[in-house]
Amino acid sequence: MINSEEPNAGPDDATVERIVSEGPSGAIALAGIATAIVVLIWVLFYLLVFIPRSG
Amino acid sequence: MANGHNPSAGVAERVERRWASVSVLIIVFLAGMAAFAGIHQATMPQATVETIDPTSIHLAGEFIESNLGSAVEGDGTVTVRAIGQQYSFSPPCILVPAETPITFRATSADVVHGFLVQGTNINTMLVPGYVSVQKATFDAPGEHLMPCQEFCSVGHEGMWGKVQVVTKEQFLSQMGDKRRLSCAP
Repeated sequence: MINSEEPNAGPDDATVERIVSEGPSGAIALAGIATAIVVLIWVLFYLLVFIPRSG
Repeated sequence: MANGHNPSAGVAERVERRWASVSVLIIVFLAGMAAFAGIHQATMPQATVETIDPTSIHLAGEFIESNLGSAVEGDGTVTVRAIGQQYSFSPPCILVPAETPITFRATSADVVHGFLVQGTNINTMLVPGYVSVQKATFDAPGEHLMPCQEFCSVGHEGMWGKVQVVTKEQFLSQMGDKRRLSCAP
């Protein structure tokens, strides 16, 4: 087929399985840091802006 | 693909389940904070619904003209009663003491108005037929603008009042033997 890759060009299934079975640590780190920043901003705004303005 | 024989699928499922747990914990935390603030009346929505007949507020009840303004309650707190109408607030200048729990009670005589005190979390609607209640404590003396923040027709932009915060001693000395106090000219 035109433009198809060589069957042996990519990593074999065993390699992929080994990498995937280690878990998506990069995605967890990225999503974790992003979520932590959002929650931190919420808490800081709540404590430093909202509460001092209320009764 | 979540079959038990595929170790990577098992890992993905475990990670997703943990991430879902973290998300649920965050939602529970936010809901808990909202509930805490609501129970302690630190947030804007009031806990109770009070109705009033808007066609007779000027004739009888707590919103007659002589009863508007600030009143000192038996427990030392201050209750402020005010009316919004096209296109002014009565009283146009509200006088309150600092470091004292204040309860604002306000309603509308005609259409929906907004009651907002700048620099504070006081922000509610004045709906004809309902009494809006907001609690607040002002930390320091000063002046706050109080504009109508709901479009109430052509004169809306000219509808504003102010809240003047004075020290407790000043407030009590101005109060003297008056029943109600305001800083309206």
